[in-house]
Amino acid sequence: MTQRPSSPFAALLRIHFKSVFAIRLPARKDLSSPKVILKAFGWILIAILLTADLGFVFGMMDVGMYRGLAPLGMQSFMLLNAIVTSSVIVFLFAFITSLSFFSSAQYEALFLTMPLTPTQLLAARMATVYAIEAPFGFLIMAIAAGVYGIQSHPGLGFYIQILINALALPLVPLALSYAIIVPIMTASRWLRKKNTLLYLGGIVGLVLALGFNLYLQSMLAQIQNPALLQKMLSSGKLNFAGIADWWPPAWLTMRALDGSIAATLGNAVLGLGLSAAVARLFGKPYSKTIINFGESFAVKGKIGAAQENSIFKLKPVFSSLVRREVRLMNREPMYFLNGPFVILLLPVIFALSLVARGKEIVDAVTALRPQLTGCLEYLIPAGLGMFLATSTSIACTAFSRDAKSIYFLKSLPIAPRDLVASKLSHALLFAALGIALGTLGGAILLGDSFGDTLIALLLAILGAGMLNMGALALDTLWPKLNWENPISALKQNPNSIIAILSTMGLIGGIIALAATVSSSKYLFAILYGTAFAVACALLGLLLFTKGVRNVGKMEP
Amino acid sequence: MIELKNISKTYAKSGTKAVDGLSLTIPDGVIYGFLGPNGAGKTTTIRMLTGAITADSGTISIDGIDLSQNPLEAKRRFGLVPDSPDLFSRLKAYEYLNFVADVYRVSTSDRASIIQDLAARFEISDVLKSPVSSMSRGMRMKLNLIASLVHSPHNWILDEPIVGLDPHAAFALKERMHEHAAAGGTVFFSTHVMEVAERICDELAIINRGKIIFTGNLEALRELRESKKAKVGSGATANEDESLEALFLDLVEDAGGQSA
Repeated sequence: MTQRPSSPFAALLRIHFKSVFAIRLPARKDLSSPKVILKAFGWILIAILLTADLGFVFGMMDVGMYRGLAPLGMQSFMLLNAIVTSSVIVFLFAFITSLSFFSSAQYEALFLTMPLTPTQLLAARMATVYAIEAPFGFLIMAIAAGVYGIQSHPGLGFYIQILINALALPLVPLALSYAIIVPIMTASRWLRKKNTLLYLGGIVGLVLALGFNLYLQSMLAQIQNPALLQKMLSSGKLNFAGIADWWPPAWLTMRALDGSIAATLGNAVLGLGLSAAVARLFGKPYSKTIINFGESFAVKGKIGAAQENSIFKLKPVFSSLVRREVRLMNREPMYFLNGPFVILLLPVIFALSLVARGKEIVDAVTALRPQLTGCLEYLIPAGLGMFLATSTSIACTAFSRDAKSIYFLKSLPIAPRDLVASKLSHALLFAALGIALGTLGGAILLGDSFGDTLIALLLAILGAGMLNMGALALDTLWPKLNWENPISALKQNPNSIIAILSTMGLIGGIIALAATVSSSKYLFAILYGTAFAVACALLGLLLFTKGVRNVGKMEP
Repeated sequence: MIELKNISKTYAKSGTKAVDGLSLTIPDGVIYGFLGPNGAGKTTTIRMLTGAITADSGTISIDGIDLSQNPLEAKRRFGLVPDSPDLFSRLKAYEYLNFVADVYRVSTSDRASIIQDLAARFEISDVLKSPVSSMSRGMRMKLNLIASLVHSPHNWILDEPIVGLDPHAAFALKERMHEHAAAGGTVFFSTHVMEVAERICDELAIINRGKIIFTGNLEALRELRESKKAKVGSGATANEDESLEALFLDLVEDAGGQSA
């Protein structure tokens, strides 16, 4: 019997999914390898941690809101908040993901030569974005349903209704994000440049994320005060309640949760219908943006004799290597936005939280300040500096990012130790900025003395040195040298996940230890300072012996 | 002069023996073509020769300097045009050339004239200020050609250099290769384009399945084929004008490999 070939649309969908969800389960024969088991265990642990983290944030918000509203009999507004939050999150993520998919439009342009309609092209792309983003929305709804279910004991019908509506809810935000992006992309040739798009996506994403952070912070502030929550709800000032009035999916879901099957059907029809309409209406302009995407323009003009002396100048090899590292990272938007930019982003998020919940934060710091004495006065600013200094992922992806040029680099007369040293210098250069912002900022916030600030700076320098050397050693010994795009080299690199989790664990651990053990104020400065210095020496030794040898053996 | 003695390489991940006991001597003053079908081991050989990967066994020397004993000095003796032109795409063209020139310690006084001369010759003077990412594949290849010559190396190693070049640039490259060899330098290049090899090679080696199946000049290749045919009694003689492509295909087929 001959197998019927799948439809062109199904084939397209399959290839998109395979390209995005490139998860390979270990083969049965590999399961005896401890490395494979450890790796699988690590990924499962990360997935659990991330889910638990999200679950905790939204779970606490839902519980707080339920308790605040239950006395008024308005606890179902907690579900409305979850519906709005889930829709907003899906819209934000879908918008950013759709933008980022445009940056790989050159690969998608190949499909234009195949017998696929523009509607199919856009529909397949939208389905892929749905598969990526819907789980986030679904998780938020599931947490809310769980909290509501435990407290109110609704019947089975409630869970069935919420399941169907949770699946339908992401469709409208997804359709809207494409209905906005496609006309913007077709409007300007300038926007279709990969760099412009990536930077724009990063900034739009940042603004949207900050806006959402502001929403969450203000919501958390409101639910901590049930009386205020009730007052705001009755006066119509609660932001999510207002959104529901003009967001039909939220209104329909609320009706559905009251048991209306027609509302559930309406939600599904609205989501699917709008998505289909967007795919149909915007399919053609979408395919045109793909055709014209990625045009980049050379800067015309010769280097004149007057410029020659300043441009063609012999510089030390080491300085040339460090400059190369900085330029390649800072000019690749994907690397820059997820790397050095984080040093600026985190303080901006903090500043925004101050704006949103300024009084609460100041009050909290004032209330906590009497407890933040002794060694914590220098350890907290040191920890903040260490965190910012390692948040750039420069060290833990240093060789992975160079995978495409590793053969060429190794054919040049560059000593492997110089290559390693240049990568470490690059990381430490930005670590210095992180330490300056984190440690000095923390010291100012706590009103530290000059002496404590100096100790915090010294500890941060040693700690950041240790963490960056450790991260670089990790990527020198186990680099990720096979990848398709820069996202894989940086964001999907296990080394960056290991480095960031280790950093957070270590910083949390040393501060928690110092906070629980009573000792003289500067004992921990000496202990940690010595430990960090010894670790720096040992990691330096590892990096410049085994690490350097491994550079010689590195093969993608 | 480049010497490879009995070098072998097996890729650990796949277990594939890419190069098997390969020996070659590439003398000064010649253009030496390195031919073979896809997957024959050409790029692996060039990567071992340039120190990008380490050979499992055997020795490699450049101008008498052992690559494993004195890698930096050996690497200073050659310029490489890699198979992929997509290097450091976020740098501007002149930044890339400056980086390579710094690594090879090209003096400030020599640098500008070498780069400007080569850029004029390969017709990319106008785009030296452009990001590499904005250049076409052909332009990037030209940029790599310039980068490989910026320190005036004695040995010039090129991995598939003709791919992506327009006819004018291909002609300029061939001319430059002749000049390099005429000045006593070594030119070692791999190619799939048999006509190119036929027209410009003084000597050539053919590799198949990791092993050298022929070394010599075109004349010797024709004689070999003729003698093989005589042995099997076909009676046919190789035509004086028979193309290298036909001879190459015959040889690879005899060795039991795929053709390019």
